[in-house]
Amino acid sequence: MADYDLIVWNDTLVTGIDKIDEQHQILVNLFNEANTKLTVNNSAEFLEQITRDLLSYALYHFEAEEGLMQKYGYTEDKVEDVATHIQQHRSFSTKVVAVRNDIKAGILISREELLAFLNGWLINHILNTDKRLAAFLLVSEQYRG
Amino acid sequence: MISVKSHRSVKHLLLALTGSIFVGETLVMLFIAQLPPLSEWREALLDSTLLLALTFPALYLLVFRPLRMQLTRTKQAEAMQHEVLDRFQKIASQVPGIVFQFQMRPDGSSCLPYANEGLLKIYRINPEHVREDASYVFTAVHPDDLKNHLASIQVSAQNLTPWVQEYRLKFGDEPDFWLFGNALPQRLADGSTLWHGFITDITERKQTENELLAATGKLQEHQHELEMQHEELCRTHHALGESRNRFVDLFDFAPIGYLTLTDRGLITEINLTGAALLGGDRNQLKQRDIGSFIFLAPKDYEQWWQGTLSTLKQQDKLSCEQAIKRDDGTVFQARMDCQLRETSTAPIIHVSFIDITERKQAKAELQIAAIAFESQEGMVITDINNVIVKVNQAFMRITGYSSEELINRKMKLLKSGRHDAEFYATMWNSLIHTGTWQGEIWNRLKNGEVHPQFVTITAVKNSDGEVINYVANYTDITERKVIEEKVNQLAFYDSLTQLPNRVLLADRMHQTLAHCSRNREIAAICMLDLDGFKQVNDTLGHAAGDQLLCDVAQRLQECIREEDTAARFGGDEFALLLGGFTKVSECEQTLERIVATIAAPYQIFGQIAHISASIGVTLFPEDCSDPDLLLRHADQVMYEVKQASKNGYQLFNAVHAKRAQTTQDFYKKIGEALAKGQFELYYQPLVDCRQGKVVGAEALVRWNHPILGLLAPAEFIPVIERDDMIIALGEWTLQEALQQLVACHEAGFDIRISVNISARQLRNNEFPQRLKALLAGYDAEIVERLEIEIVETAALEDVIVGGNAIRKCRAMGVRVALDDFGTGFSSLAHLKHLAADALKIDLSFISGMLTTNGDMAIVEGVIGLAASFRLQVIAEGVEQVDQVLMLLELGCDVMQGYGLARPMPAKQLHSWLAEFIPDPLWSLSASHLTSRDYFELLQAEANHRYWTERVLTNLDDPRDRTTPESLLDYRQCRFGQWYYDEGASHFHSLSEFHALDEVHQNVHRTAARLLEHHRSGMAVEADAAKAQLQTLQQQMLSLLHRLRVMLADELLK
Repeated sequence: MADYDLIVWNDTLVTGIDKIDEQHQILVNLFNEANTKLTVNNSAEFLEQITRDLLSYALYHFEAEEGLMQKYGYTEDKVEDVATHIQQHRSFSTKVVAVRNDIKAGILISREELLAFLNGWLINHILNTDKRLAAFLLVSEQYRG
Repeated sequence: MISVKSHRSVKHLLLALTGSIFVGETLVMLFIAQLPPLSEWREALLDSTLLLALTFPALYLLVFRPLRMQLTRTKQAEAMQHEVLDRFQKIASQVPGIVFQFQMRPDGSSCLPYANEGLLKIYRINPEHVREDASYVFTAVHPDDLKNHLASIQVSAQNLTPWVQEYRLKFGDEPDFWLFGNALPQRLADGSTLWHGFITDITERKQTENELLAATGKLQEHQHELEMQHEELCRTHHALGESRNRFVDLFDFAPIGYLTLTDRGLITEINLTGAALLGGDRNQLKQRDIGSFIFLAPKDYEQWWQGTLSTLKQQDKLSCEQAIKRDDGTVFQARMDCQLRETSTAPIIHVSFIDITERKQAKAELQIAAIAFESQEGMVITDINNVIVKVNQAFMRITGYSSEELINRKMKLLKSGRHDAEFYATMWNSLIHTGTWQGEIWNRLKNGEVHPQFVTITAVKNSDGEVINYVANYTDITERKVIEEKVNQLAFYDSLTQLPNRVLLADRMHQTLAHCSRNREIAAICMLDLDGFKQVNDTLGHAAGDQLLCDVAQRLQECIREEDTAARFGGDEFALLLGGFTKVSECEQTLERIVATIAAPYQIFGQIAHISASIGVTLFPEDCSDPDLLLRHADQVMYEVKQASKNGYQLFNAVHAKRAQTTQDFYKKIGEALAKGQFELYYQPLVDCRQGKVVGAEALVRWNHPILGLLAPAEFIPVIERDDMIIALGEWTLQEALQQLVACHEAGFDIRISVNISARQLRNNEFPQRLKALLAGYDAEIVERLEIEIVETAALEDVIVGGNAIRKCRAMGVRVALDDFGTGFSSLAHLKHLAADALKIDLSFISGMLTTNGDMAIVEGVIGLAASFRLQVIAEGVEQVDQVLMLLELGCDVMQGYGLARPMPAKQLHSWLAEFIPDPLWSLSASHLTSRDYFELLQAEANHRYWTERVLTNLDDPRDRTTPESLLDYRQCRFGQWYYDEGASHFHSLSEFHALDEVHQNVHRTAARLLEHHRSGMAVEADAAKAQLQTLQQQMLSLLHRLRVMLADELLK
C-alpha cells in the first residue's frame, strides 16, 4: 500500500548541513516505512510504535536544529523565522501526542490522515523551514569557521 | 767414406729428414683417431698427407730448404715412440738416394758416421767402410768436378751455409753419374763440422735435360708450376704445424687423462691432465708401472691386468671403473677406457681416464634419494614455476591422481580454495627467506574431496644459490583432523543438533567474509528464531521440542551450500552464514526458500507440528565487516520481524540502524538530564468535589530541556518506556514525591501524592525491593499517602505479574490506582486479580461524556464497577463545571483536570492548597438539590458547543467532506431537538429561553455560509463568517449560562 509516493532522497531535499541532512534522511525513512507498512486497518500497537518512533526522532532532530539556531545566532537574527520554525516543531509534537492520546482512547488515526500529515509536514519543513535555517548557517562565518 | 758413428746419430739424422712432417702427422693422426671427429680439419690433414706422398720426389728436391727449419725444431721428437722410429728407419732405407751424416774434422780428415744403403748403390761402397774415414768417397768424384766439390764443402764448413751441389761421379769407362747433394752443416764441440743431408742420383734428369733441351721452355714452365705447388705445400705445412701444436695443447690440457701403456703395463706417454690425476710429474711417470697406481692387492692386480689384456686382445676396447691410489695415498675412482693397438713390435694400450669419485658418490646419493623419495609420505618435486616434475607413489595415493595427470601440471590443480591470498603470501615469504615452509594445507583431491595435509616445502638451490626446484612433503592428516574434530566437536558444536556453535560460527565468519571480500561476493549473516516453538515444547514435551530442533537443523542444512554455515546459538535461536551471492536477489531467493522450508509441517512422534522462522538478515559488505556487529544487526532485524509479522525475513537497513542508534542516544540524553537535574515534578491536584476539598495530587514529570524548553511527559515518556531508563526516572519520581509528601505533611496539608509507574518498572523483579528501600526512611503516615498509578493496559499485559506487584505494593502500605481506566477493557476477573485501591477514568471518556452517549455509558459503567468492587473512582481530564456536576450526579466525587487545576510546580502547590476554595456550583449536587432540568440544560449547552466545534474543526480538514448533522436544519441538531421539545416545555416562561431561538437559527445559517465560502475558496468571506459564528456561539453560551444561573438560584433558595 503506497498511495503516497515514497520519498526518494534526492538533491532537492539536501539542505547542505550534513547533520540535518542525515537526520532528515531518517525522517524520510520513517515516513517511507509508515507508507509501506500502514494498512487500512492498523493495530493500535503498530500505530503506537510508529508514533513513538516519530516522537523519538522528532525530539532528537528538533534538539539538533534548535541547538544550531542558538549556537549560531539564528535566534537573534531571524526572530520571525525562528518563531515559525519552533512553532512547526511544537505543532509536530503536539499532533503526534494527540494522535497517541486518541489511540489510547481507541480512536485510531487513519493511514490516510497520518501519511497526509507526515508528508505535508516533512516536505514543507525540509523544503522551506529547514532550508532557510541552512541558508543562514551556510553564510554564517561562525558556522563555516 | 762416411762411417756411422752411433745409433743415436742415426736416429737424429732420420728425424732431421722426415720427423718434422711425419712425427707431427703421425701424432696428429693418432689423436685424430682417439678424439671426437673434427671432420673438416681431419679431411684437410688427410688430403695434405696424400699430396705429400704423391709428390714425394718433387718434395725431395724442393722441400729440403724449408725442412731444415723443421729439422731443428723437431729435435724434441726424441720422445717419439719406437714404432714411429721403426717406420722412419724403414722409410729412410727406401729413400731413392743417400741419406747421410758427413763429418769433417779440424785436421781436414773426414768420415761418414751414417749413410743408408743408397751409399752402396751410388758410391758402390759399404757405409761401414766409410764410417771412420770418408776419403774414399772423394775418389769417386769426377776429376773435373772434384775441386769444385771440395771447395763447396769447405765454403759450407767455413760459413755454416747449407751445402748444395750438383756434381758427377766417374767409375772407369762408365758414363758419368750426376748427383745432387744437399746438407746442413753444424759445428761440433771439437771444432769439427757435421753435415746432415742427402744425395740423389740425377743422372736421368741430366740426360732428360739434355734430351729435352728443346723443350726447355716447357720444362721451365713445369718448374714454375712445381714452385707454385711448393709454395702451396709450404703453406699447408705451416697450417699443419699449427694444427699439430693445437693438438698437442689439446692432448695435454684435455679434461681427460690420457696415457699409453706397453703390454707390460709401463707408462710410455701421459698428458698433463693424466699426470695431475695420478698426482705426479709427467716425466717421472714415464716408465712407471701402472700397477703401482691400481688400488688392488698385487695378486689381484696381476689377475686384473691379464684380464684386461686378454679382453683387449679379443675386442680392442674395454671400459672399466677402477679405484686408483696415488703415491700420496689418496684414492679416487676412475673410469678407464682402454684401447689396444697392435704395432709391428709390441702392442700398445691407449688409456683415457677420468675421476668419477664425485659422480659415483652422487649416484650413490641419488640411489638413496630415490629410495627415500618412495617413502610412505607423499612427495612432489616442482620446478620454480610450480610445475610438477616428479611425484611419488604415496603422493599419487593421497591425491588420487596418476603421475601422468600430475606431471607438467601446476600445483594449483590441487588448490581447495580454502586459503586466502595472505596464506600463500606467508608461505612464499617463508620459502624465499628461510628456504622452507611448514603448515597445514587443504587440498582438493581428484574425487573432489578436500583434505587437510601437513606439508613441508623445501627450496632446492644450485651451487650458485639459485632456487631450481621445490620439494614438498605431504602427510595426510585427515585422520588427525578427524580426532581433532572430535575434540572440536565438543567445543565448537552444539551437542543436540551437531550444528556449529557460536564460537565456530565466529571463526567461519572471518573466513567467509575474507573470501567474499576477495571474490567481490555478498555474504548474508542471518539470525533465525523459531515462531511457535515454545508452544510445541509446552504441548508435546521437551523431547518433541528437541526432535523439532534437530529437524529444523537438518532442513536448514539442506537449504544451504556445503560452504555455508548453519549454527545453533541455543534455545530456538539459529544463525546462518551464507556466502557466494553476486546479487541481493539471489540471497533473497535462498532466504525465501529457507522460510518456506521451515514453515512446512513437521512430523514429531506421530504428531503434526507447525512452526515458522523469523529471520533477520544483514549483508556483507553493505553493512560492515565486524562479525559481532553483523550478528547484532541481524539479531536486531530478527527482533523486528518477530515483532511485526513473523514467518519471514527482513534485511537490515542502515537507516534503521541509524534510527536505533539515535534512540540509544536519546536514552543517554535522558540519563544525562536526570543527572543534571533537568527533570522536575509538577503536581495536579485531585479534588473531592462533593466534599469540596483537595484529597491529593498527581505528580507529573516535566523535562526542562535546555534547548526545547519544558516538555510534557507525553512527548518523551513513550520514547523511553521500553528502556530501563524509565525505571531510573520512575525511581527518581518516587523519591521526589515522597519528599513532597513530607513537605506537605509538615505544612499541614493532608493530601496523597500519586506517582506514575511504567509497565516495565512494575514487571521488574527488583521493583518491590527497590520500592521498599525507597520507603524505608519514611513514616507510615507518609507511606500510606503515596499512591502508585499503573496504566490499566500495562497492568493487563501480564495480569499475574501485575497483580503480584500490586499486592506487594499494597502490602507495604502504598495505595495503587489503575490509570487510564477504560482503555484496556479489563474483565471483572482481571479487575479482581489486579486488586487496586482506585480506578482513574481515562480523560478521553470524561471529555466525551457530555456529547457522546458511548462515553457516558463507559463512565457510568466504570463508576458502577468501582462501586461494586468497593474501589475509589477518580475522573481525569475534567475541564468544565458541567462535567463536575455530571460526575457528581453519576457518583464520582474525586476529580482531576484543567477545570479544577492545571499541573503546577511544587512551590506553587502549597499556596494553591492554602488558597483553595471549592466552586459553589458543586454544592448543587452535594446538597442533593439536583434537578433534572438543570442537567438537561447542561447537556444542551455541551451539545451545542460540540456541534459548533465540529463545524470549525472540519474546516481545517480539507478531506472531511461530511456535513455536520443538520447543518441547515436547526431543528435536527441535538440542541434543536431539546429546545423545541423538552426545553420548551420547561423553560417557555423565560424570556432568555426565547431569545435563544433566534441566535440558534442564526448559528446554523452562519455555519452554512461559512462552509460554502470555505469550500469555494473565498477566504475573506469565510473568515468573516467564522468570526460571526464565534460571536453567535458566545451569545448563545451566555444565554444558556444565564438560564443555568437562574435555575441554580431558584434551586439554592
